[in-house]
Amino acid sequence: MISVDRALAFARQHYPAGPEKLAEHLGVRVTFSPMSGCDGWCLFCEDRAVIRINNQFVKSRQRFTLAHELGHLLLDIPTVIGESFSDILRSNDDEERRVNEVAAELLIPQNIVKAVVSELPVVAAVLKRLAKQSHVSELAAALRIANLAAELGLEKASVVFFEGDTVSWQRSQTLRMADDTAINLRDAAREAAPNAFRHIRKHKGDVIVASLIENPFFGSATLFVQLLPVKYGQQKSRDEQRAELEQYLFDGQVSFQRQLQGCFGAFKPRAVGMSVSEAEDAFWERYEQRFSGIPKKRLTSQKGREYVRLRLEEWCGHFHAETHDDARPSS
Amino acid sequence: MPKLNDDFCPVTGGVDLPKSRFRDDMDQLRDVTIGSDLDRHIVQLLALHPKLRVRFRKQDLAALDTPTKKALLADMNDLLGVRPLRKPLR
Repeated sequence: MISVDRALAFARQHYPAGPEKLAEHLGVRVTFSPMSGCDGWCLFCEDRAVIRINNQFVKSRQRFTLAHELGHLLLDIPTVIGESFSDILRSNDDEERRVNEVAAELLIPQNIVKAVVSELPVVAAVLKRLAKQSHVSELAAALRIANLAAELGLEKASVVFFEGDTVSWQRSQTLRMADDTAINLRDAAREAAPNAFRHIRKHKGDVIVASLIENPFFGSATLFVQLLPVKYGQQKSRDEQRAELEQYLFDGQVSFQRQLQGCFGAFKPRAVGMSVSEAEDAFWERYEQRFSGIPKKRLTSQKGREYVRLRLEEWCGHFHAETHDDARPSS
Repeated sequence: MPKLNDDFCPVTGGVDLPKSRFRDDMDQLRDVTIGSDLDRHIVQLLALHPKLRVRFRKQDLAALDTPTKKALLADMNDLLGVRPLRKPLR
């Protein structure tokens, strides 16, 4: 059997399809079928292994189960038959914790997390982006970031999962809070959405930042709570800046928003490989005369230009390819 | 609930089995609650194959329904190379 380090390196190479490719590489037969009382299992004997996954759940959950079962195989830890998704996430068992660490690295390698979480605080849009890019649930993305809190420069971080109005469970290596506190933070984060909720604790010199992702279909919600030094906790994330600028630019102007999105979509392939200032010059040269009236006035205002620059930075290798060193404390 | 304790009765004669034929987690396996012949079959198969290691949540198979247990047995048989001796009768 392959060593854990080699398996993780292999998964990194094949991100985001790391677990699937690894199973294929190892010759593990993976079967999907409806099951009850169980998310999946991995049976192994000498050099053969079979994995079965419950296919009655969403794809992201099936991928998580696959990575988890591969973790059992790589660490040579027997699978637990009858284990559900929430059992896996909630388990305090040392072996299950080690299996989950391997599974998390297979699904979302640490270098990817660091690239996506390139500034603090971590807001809901970042969790969603990491989840989408990695083909995992937002909950799994939040847990991954919380487990890498120290590496990412977060003082403390916690994930609280709500089912309906009650706290179902919370997971953190660094931060525990009372259920009442979690519920209050959830309500505050809901009110502040799409921005994160911030609470400055002057006496401790830190900021509590809470972001909420709700899933109305399942009646559940994921709350991501982080503790940050004031300097980093107070700064607005790019996603928050973008949301604010969009509010100013497109307030009640849906057709303008669509037209500008179309321009960005058409311009994106041209922007790749350009510096941000080159892309800005090219963008304005190409599109400035396309707009008139209020849209033009807003777009060419200082905030409008700021918004265009923010969007172009996303594609010009300026932001996501490298970490902004001044956007988070060195770990 | 019937227990597995009565399944393997002591016998006289025969030869000693090598240690590799015994599971190191046999005690855990013996505690698994069995509620049907299918459960018994699964646990007995595990008892006979020490290299195939699994654990059961809360030492109980009750959370699984029959098709799931059958799938588990099929995977175990597949892994161990256990196949029917004859084609099923038509």
